[in-house]
Amino acid sequence: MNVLDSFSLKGKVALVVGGTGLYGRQVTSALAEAGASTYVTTRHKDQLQDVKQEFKQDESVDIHALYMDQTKEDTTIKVRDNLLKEHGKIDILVNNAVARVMETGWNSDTAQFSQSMEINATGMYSVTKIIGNVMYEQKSGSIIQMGSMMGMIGPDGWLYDEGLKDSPPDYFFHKGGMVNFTKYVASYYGQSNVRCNCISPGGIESYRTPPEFVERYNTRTMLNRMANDTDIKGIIVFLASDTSAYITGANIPVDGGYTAK
Amino acid sequence: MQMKEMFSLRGKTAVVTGGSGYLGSCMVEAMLAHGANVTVADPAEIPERLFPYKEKGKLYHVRCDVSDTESICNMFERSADNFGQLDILVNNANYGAGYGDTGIDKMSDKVWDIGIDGSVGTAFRCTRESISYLRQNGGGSIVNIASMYGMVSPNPGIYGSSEANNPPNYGAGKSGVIQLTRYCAGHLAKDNIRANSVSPGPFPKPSQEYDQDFQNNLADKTMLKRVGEQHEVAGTIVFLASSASGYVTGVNIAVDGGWTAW
Repeated sequence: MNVLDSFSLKGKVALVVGGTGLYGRQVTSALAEAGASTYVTTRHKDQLQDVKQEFKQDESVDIHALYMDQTKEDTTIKVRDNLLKEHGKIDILVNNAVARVMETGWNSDTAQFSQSMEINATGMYSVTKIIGNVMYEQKSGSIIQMGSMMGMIGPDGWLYDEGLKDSPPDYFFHKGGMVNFTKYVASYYGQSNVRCNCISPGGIESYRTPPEFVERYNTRTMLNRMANDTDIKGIIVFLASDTSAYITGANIPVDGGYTAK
Repeated sequence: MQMKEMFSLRGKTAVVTGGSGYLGSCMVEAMLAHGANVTVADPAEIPERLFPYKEKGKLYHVRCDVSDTESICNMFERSADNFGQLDILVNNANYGAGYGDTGIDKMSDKVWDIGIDGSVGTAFRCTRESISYLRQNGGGSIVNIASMYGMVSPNPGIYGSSEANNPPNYGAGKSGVIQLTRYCAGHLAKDNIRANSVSPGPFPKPSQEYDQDFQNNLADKTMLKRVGEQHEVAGTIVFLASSASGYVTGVNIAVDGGWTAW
């Protein structure tokens, strides 16, 4: 392999589950800019046209939007079959979908916890199995789990105006689970040359992040800033590409040093 | 920023200690291919395949002994004189592990000290001497080569009767490298210097001619059921050296086929 082309994803087919959020947009455009035919899914049928429109604006990249709800296996199977019909293979899967269910924190209804797991844990497992089995058969593939720094450490009430009042326990549970689920998947598919790795990003700053929060958060990182709208692109391309062919079962924080101190 | 530019090292200068070695020479090659100028700090000659880069002036070879501070200082000075700047330091060289009586029940203080210095003292000294150069340039990236044996213990069963066991001071030093990396990330961030470590898994050198049983044992201990190939650490170095990893600091990336994940 030419070293210069080693980060290229030309000729590869990528599926990004839940590609319309702050991180999802970067993931999707990074894969497409690196040359992959990229398919992004949303579970909001009514937003599908908008998503298609948004990603269509850059004509130099190959991005398609599809409807998929990871709690409904038939929609995942339909996406799988569409991709296989179109390309005969799926090289890259990014599990990026997340539902933030317990918005009222610790003392939410217990039923909300199971509702969250139905989407974030069970749904994610279902997608990984359905797409992973395709990769297993074709004897190659890279699965990337979008975890979170919140799957590695506990919440810090000092950061938030209202302390830990709204801190979502379900999110910490399933993001933490993702780190070890990654190792299970890496082990299960490893002998068939299918890799699985997890990325644990820190908080990302957007136009709606309150300045006081940003100021507090910055002090908790080493690089003294929150993540921006391109910070995740490099690691995605790196883990999706053959450059990382000997990396599997890893969890890589992209958090400006938040979890290293 | 376009993806290609993100991984580019054009206009950057790197120092790679141990850059003539089995894994190091591939790191050097990958960085050169991505546009960097590279100083190879190594007492040994560079492999022939890198000669063309030397002739073009992209690679500069300084015979440097990382056990000796004076030699390190001299190397950084000559590198800066030659290329005018320093942006990337790859602490890849180590020495001293595997000599003398290496068992935990018989290792002498002296042998212990040499191995510890060889695995983590080298990274410390080269980092210390690099900082003023990196600062001059407004920051940079330090990549420390640790080891899977800085994360987990060697499993004695794997080595069987090969007598190729890995000594206790090697891993103790390498786990020190992982922690030194976090320390540097925390304390050099204000100078816009990032620090990360890479922990290679099993990369047996073909020249060592290990027996097949041992090689099979190594492969079986990975999730991918194979040992690493010579070039398979290099991409991670390019990623960590380039702006593609601009928000990554203080982390350790295992390049080990899953060895440490089960």
